[in-house]
Amino acid sequence: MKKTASLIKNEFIKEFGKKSTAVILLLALAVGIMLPILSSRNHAADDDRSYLESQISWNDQSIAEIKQESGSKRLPEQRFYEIDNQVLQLQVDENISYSDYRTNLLDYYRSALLEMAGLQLYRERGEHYSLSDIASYLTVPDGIEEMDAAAIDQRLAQLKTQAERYRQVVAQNSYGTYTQIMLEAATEQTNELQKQVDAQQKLVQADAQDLAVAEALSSLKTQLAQQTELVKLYQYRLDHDIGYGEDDYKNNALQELQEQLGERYAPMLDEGDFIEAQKGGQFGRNMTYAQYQESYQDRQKALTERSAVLWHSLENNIPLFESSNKDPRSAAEGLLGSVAIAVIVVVVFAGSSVSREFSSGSIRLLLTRPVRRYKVYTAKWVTCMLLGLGSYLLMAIGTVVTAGIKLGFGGFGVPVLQYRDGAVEQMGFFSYLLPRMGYVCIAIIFIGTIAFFFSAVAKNTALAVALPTAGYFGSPLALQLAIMFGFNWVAYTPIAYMDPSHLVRNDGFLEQLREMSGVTLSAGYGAAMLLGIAALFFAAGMWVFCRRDITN
Amino acid sequence: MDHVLKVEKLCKHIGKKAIVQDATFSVRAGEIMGFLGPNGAGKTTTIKMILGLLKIDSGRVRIGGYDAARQPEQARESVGGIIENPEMYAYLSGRKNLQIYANMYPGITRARIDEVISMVKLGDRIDDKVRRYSLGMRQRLGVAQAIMHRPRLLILDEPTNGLDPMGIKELRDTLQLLARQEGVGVLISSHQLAEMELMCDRVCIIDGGKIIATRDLHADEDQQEQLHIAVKDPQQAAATCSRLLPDLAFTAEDGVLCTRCDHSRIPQLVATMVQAGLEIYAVTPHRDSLEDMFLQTTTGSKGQIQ
Repeated sequence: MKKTASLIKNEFIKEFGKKSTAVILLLALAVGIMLPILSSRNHAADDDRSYLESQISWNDQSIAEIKQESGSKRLPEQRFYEIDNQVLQLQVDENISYSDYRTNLLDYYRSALLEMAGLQLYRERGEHYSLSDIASYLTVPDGIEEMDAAAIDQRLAQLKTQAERYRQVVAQNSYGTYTQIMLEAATEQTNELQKQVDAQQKLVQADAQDLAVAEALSSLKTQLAQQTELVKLYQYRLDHDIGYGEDDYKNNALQELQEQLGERYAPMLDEGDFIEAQKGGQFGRNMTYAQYQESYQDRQKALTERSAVLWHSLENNIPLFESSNKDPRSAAEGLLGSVAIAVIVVVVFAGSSVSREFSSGSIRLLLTRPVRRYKVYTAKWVTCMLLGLGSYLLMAIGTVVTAGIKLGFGGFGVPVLQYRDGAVEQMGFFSYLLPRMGYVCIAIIFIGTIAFFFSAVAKNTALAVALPTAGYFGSPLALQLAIMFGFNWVAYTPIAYMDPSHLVRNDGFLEQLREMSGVTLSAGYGAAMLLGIAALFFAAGMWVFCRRDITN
Repeated sequence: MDHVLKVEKLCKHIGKKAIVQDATFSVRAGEIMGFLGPNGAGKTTTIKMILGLLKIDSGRVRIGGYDAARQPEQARESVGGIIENPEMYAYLSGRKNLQIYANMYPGITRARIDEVISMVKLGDRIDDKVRRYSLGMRQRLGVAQAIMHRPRLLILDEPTNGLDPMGIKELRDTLQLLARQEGVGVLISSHQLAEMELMCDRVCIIDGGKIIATRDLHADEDQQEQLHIAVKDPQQAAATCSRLLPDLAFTAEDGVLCTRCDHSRIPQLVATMVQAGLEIYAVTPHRDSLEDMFLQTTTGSKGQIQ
């Protein structure tokens, strides 16, 4: 043991005797520092500005070109470009990026203006352009040909008011009014659906045996329930004066609840529909209906739990770290994905550890010492693992400190919400993060040991670095291809578990894989398999190293 | 007599070819044993087997009493070695290299490392990176790492490669010091026969993987000496002397009269020849040079196994 400790000390002397070691570790630290800075950056409106301005000038050119022609045959087209520019200009003037909530409103504004222009041109038309010319570029309401002048005027007035309202909301960024608009629209739809439900109810009562009618009713009721919940969300937003800021966790929670609605209210497919969907490629080829059912139930359960967590976050004012990239916890959680950097580091060290002793010839003077070869091998392996894990630690320190400085250390004190045993629980952030970081370190040990094996057995640094790196970064593609061709057994091999971060983060990977292959990944199985295989490679490499003749 | 190295029936095959067959020899404490052989005879292979770099197919190696196969750590604690040009960590300093190796032995102090550094005369350059060393300096550093732990056996494979005459002499002096004063047994393989003759007490000759001769280079006083006597007519002198001294054999070779006799009989021989009227120009004791012996016993590079 003491000898092995001295050997490890020797390996560190050798590694740190090279400048490249310090450089690599500093690079890892630098990546750790950059991560929170990059991830907390918002999409800048300036990025879109130049695109918008070029769109506007392109439209201007088209307008100029049309104006040069005599006659007004192309007036609808001209109006279309003019309206587009009006909207784009508003977007530019108000600095609205594509991730801004007001993008929706701009679309509504554009729609209103297009319909207004359509009606106006219809009213003024001569022989120059027909209704279908108008309809090609602008919007006309259904049944326009039956509308008299008064009806047209009424509709125009309505649209004008709407358009003005949208424009104002956009210009004044009054999110409350926006929510009000959305709430009104949603409430209107709810009322519509209620009427349809009532009507359908009557049809069912008339003929209780008709399955199609009963099915239609049930479908309408589901839609109604979904719509009611949507209204509830808008109401909550209005009552609590919640804006649409990208970094507002309450906004993001409500957005997620809204996005969830579609999936939560989607009914389970019956067997026939499932097979149809499978043929269409929506589900994996080898998935059975029973597997689909199970996965549907699990998904519903997960959504319900997530919903509970989101509501808990809203009602108790506890931000979820995934809800904002201005939350320092969010940046720190990103460490679970950036273990890939540490994997590269460990491969660089492990891949050269033994092979460079052979290529330089120093292996001879190393192995004539009174130390058994397995101790030399083990000491080298331990050193490489320590360097790989150490680089991950350095990166983590860089990230946490930078996130704290940039986004506030206080943010780390906010508890993490999780659904456990039927209720939402709170947990300290680092109690949440550290075990997960420990889990993803398995990737470092697994890939590092394989690189070390090739270094010791093939005595070739290039091979020992290239193969594991290719394997690690190519595994997602390999997995996808395999599942696509129906080789679901691949989900039980290391290829599926190569990136252990999927098992400790909510990135949707597990759900997607399950949907495509029917296979559920298990964290315990993955850990045992990767570590077991690593142990085998370690032992095999040691066996070769201890037995071989040193011929160079 | 204390043997620091005992090699018994050592064998090594690569595929079907026998590289080393039944090699048996030993090195005593305090003696310098030369290990000679043509290219490809199996010298480096044998040495590598002793040092543990190659697996032994059959046979036994005992170093300082320890079986190298069963007690490798103890055995290797007693041996220091240099194989051809010693490759170290060129990007580290000489001192760091020595420290790394010292960490693998028990009880080597800083003072000992400093002592060894001054012994090989690297004091002023020891903190420079090894890649800046000349060949001679690297060789000296190689000696330093080999003797640092006070081994009982020192094994050197072609250590004078690339050394200038000064370097060779220094190496010889160091080895002789270690052998005579510290009782270290030295096994040294080389092609420099003249150098071997100056340095070694015994030589062991290997050819075609087999030990074919072992010779003691120190002549025994009681042993018979070969004499070359320069005379006017060697043929006539040979005939005359054969008649006068029938118990000795006389031949005429290369223009001289040759015979073998005890050292004590030389005066009688000279007196007899003078009395017989033979004109003597010189009486020279002649020993077979190591080169002569080497070429006589080996097949040269024809015996090469690669």
